[in-house]
Amino acid sequence: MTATRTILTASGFWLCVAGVGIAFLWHISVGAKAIPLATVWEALVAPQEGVFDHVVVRELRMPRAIFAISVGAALAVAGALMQGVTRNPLAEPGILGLLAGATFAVIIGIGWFELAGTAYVPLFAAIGALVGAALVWTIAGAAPGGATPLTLILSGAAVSGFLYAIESAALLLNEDAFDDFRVWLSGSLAGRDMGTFLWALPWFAAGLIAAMVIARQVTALAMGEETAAGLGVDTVRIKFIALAAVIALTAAAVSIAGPLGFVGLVIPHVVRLFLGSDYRLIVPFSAVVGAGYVVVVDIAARVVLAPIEISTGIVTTMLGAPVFIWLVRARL
Amino acid sequence: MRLLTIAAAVVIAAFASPILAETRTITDDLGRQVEIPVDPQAIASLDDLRLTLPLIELGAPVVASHGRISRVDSSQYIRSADILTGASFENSNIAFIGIEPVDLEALAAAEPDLIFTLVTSNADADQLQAIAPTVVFDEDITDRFAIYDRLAEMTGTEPRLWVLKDRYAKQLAQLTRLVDTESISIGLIEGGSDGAIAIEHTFGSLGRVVRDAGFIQPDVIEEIAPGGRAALSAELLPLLDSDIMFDTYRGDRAEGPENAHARMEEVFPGYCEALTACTEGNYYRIPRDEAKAISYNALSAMTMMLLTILSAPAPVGE
Repeated sequence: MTATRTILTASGFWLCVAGVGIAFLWHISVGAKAIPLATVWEALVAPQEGVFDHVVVRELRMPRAIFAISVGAALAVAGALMQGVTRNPLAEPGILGLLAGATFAVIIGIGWFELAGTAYVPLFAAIGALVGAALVWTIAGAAPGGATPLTLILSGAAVSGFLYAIESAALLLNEDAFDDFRVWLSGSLAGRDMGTFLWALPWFAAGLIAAMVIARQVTALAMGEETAAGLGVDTVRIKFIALAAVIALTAAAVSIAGPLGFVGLVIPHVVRLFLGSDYRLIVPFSAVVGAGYVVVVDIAARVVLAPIEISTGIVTTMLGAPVFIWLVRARL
Repeated sequence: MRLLTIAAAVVIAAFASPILAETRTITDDLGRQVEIPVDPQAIASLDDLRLTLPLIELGAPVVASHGRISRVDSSQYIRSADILTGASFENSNIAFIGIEPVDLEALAAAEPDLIFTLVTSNADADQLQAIAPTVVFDEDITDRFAIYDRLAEMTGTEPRLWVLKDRYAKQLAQLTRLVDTESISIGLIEGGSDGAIAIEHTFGSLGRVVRDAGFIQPDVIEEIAPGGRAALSAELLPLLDSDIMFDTYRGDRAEGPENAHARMEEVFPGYCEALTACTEGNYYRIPRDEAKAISYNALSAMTMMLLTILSAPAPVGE
């Protein structure tokens, strides 16, 4: 990497971080209640106890913006890792069954074991994501030709559909017990609680740190297993760490926001368009761009049809689906 | 003798049939012309809270109802009916026909001669009509208590309704005699969830009493169309602040006031500080089954509750 390119990349990174900062400020400045920008700023730098507008900014808008940043970064990095390790441009937690598995497990955990707001929610989500991924890979691996991008997508769709059917059956069989999940199931950041976020935080941190640490080896893996092995990469170990990181990030994101589709697909591809295939850049840039993306999408979810709010997951899916179709046409 | 028997049967049939099958035509909220029995003997209801409960209160012959499955013990129950009337699937002849959507075969097995349902139900009116005459209500067209009136009229239980109305009128008169209702504001919250606060133009029986007694309600509630509901952003919570506020919890799910409090804390951390009603100790958390029900028993309970909270105590020593 030349010095000029390094400077450009670093500048680009900090520009993206600044962009996320601006999106964050925008996010906490808009809402159902019109609060002057000066008051928003005052709430940030000199909050006063008992001032309602300050409470709105600090207790309602800021947590939601922080959740959006965390979830966006997690899903984007999870998608980047999956695409790098599997060399599958369509890999992402939603398409390969991890989101469905995690969502299913959270429903079981909260709906039947009443684990809402506890440390077990991310754990349940992680187990679900692992089971979902294992099912998808096992089914795809058993297909003629093995786990190709196409068989992975098909088995991902089958596993997601199957788990969705069980969720629907549970909802129908006991509407009363599961009606708290309706909004969460559509992928929403509205009304999420800080307790669950704090329990998910270590999972976010562990996943992101692991992703950063293995980014160089993922670049090698993305060139092929033989090339990676030739470069001295312990491919089994890296794959294992990558899988653990992806599961941790997916579980944390699902615990907070439910299934937000396509974030892990769209962002790494956008980043790759500008930065090429070096995962030492793709991973951190995906984290930052993913964070900004979900913050902006969440603003749209709140204001486009105001005063009615639509779920953030609906917007990410509406934006992500065309990208998925384009990728299928271009890369399969 | 044989001829005599046949003749007797013909005579009985000639007189009995018109009585048994006597019908009349009504127009339901979908604009459908429905021929219903004048004196229904086996009624099925596809909504426990909004149809079965009123029918039970009216003493109508309900043979089948939509119901719920308890979160607590997985038993089947008719929401609000158990606590307001004592009726349940166990202690009555009412058959459980499922949660939403109901089991049409179970419905048919109950052999109803009249079916009541809501437009929001997932059951198709024409399919239901194949089982028995079906009347569809639309709460956007007919107010919930107006549906109650129509149920009484269609089931021939109007005398019972008049008694219930008379009782409510007397209780209401007592409330307005003892409380200066027009100078007190009351804010009603169904509950908080997913970052919003659920409010209604007229929140069940409690909302009905508040309106009928002439209490002031926050503009944000008055602005909702009659029969409508809204999800108010938590950011606008102070718009609901009133002299007295009520929030609800699900008693049928073994919830208590702490659950209503926890939900509001989740929606707006420190919500109590933002509401004068709450800081001054005038924020009450009550069971939703009684507050929300469309029921004259609930109206009684709500009237008495407001009277208890708001009527001034007698000065000490007098």
